Amino acid sequence: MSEGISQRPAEPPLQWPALIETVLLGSAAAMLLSKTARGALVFYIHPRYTWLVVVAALILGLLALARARAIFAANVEPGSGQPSSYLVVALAVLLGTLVPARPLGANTVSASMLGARSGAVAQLPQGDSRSWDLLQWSIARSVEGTTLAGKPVDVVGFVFHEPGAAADRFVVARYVLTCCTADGSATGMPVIWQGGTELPADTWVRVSGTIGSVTRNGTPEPAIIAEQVELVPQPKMPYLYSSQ
Amino acid sequence: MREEFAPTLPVDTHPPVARLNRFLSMAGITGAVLLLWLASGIGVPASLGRATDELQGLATIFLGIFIEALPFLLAGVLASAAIHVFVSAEHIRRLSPRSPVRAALLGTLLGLCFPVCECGAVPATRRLMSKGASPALGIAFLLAAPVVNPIVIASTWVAFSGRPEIVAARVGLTVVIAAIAALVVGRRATADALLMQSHHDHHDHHDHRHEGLGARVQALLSHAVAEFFEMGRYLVLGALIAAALQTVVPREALLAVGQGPVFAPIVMMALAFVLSICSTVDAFVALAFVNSFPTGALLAFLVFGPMVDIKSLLMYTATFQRPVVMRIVAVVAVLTLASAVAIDLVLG
Repeated sequence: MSEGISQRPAEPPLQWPALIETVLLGSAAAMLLSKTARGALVFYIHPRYTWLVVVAALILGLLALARARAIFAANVEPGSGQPSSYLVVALAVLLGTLVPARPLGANTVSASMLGARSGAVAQLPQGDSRSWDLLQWSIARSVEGTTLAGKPVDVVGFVFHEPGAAADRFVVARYVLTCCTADGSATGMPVIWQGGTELPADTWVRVSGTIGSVTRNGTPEPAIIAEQVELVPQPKMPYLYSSQ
Repeated sequence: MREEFAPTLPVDTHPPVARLNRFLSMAGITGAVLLLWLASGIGVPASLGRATDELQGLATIFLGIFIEALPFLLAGVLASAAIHVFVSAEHIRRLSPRSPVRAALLGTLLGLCFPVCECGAVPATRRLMSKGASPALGIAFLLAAPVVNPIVIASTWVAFSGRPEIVAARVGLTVVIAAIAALVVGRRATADALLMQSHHDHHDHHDHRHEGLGARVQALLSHAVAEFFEMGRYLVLGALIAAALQTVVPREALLAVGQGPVFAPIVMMALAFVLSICSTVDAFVALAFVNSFPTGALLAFLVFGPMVDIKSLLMYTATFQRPVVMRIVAVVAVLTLASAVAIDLVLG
């Protein structure tokens, strides 16, 4: 550049691929970090992987910085410019940004999913049955069935309405995850409560009462005869985990 | 999905193809915009509220897979870029055994020092093969590395802590099946005959080894970025398809279809394919089926999923020629099914 040529070198043109890649990598990093900071990451993956996602976000940020240097580079970078890749990656980032962060809930439950869990790898719950969560109840149900009658219950979950259920019924349900939402499955218990159908789906409630029995699809099944149903805010950890 | 190659093709030679591509991209963009709008719930009329509800569920499952896999994809593209920048082709050629059998066996064990799952194995394999590793070695590595690596062995061990035979059988079956598939597909072929021309490999021929460390790190990062966009696209599409299938077909419907010595493993393989979970964590998912499925079917899930699932299949088709992908998938599926059926018959 300093060879005594009097005219100034022409402004290098903007390297659009480098600019787009910088923006996409940077916004992917920002999306992950903001989900982590707002406590929304646990809506998608088991909390034990949080550190991995933070590391990934930092690497994405580093890659964005590396690409930013190429935006004003004089020569075209090899291998840049993949319009369809940009659009697809942008779709992922936009889905993470524009769609309100929301845990799996009544919107994804299908009624067939709600039975007792047969994959009883966890231990049969011990101690006061009022301290059992819905996962522990489902394990207890799969092992002990109707002998649970009369035990006291105190659980938190979201409201789910089975199609065609009686007016005094709803299901209190919770999603159980092993690693991420791809393997999530719902577990729940029928609740007998006057005005149960008036509770909107996905409302978080705390249900206390005792175990009785309802007939579902022709077979008797444990159900909660509710003494109290209390509206509660969505828990910070909306899922239960089948392994720690 | 081919339009990124358009700049290297004379545009006018195939007007119908170009028109079809343009139509498909427009359809894809329209679909994506519609999906984003409905799922965001911004200004969506109440009559479409149900669609918003269901698409938000789909988005949650999609983001679960995408966010879980992202760190591993990044590890893979960084490993691949590091091989590209720091390891010379002669080096790899010298280390790659001549005999296909030995190459295949070495390939199955290479994952022990390159801990990558399926998202990372694809770019690393392509790099190894384009740098001169024999196809048998490359394919054996591709199929085995997602299981035969310290992280996955450890997570399987933790998940099945009471049953070390599951861990041993998972690793053993993976090594055998990967080696056989590598020999069947890669015995006589050359890397060039198997690989798709990579978009950015065209420019890869210059050697970074004689540059300074700063320049090499810069090269590493920009290669990693190029590969991230190339492979990330398939991760996103695969995760979207998997999430959509899960929203439409409940897992329980799949489980209800299959019992019996042949159907149970088929169902578990189909489940592994559809779920597309990373191999580092799939053992925990398999736990959920311990009591409802026999051991052979569980192993089919643990062996087949890391080799073939929706997102890795999309990555394979971007990396290998179509017939090669079909042969790999067929050999792996048949061998997995046969071993699962045999195990369940023996265990009764």
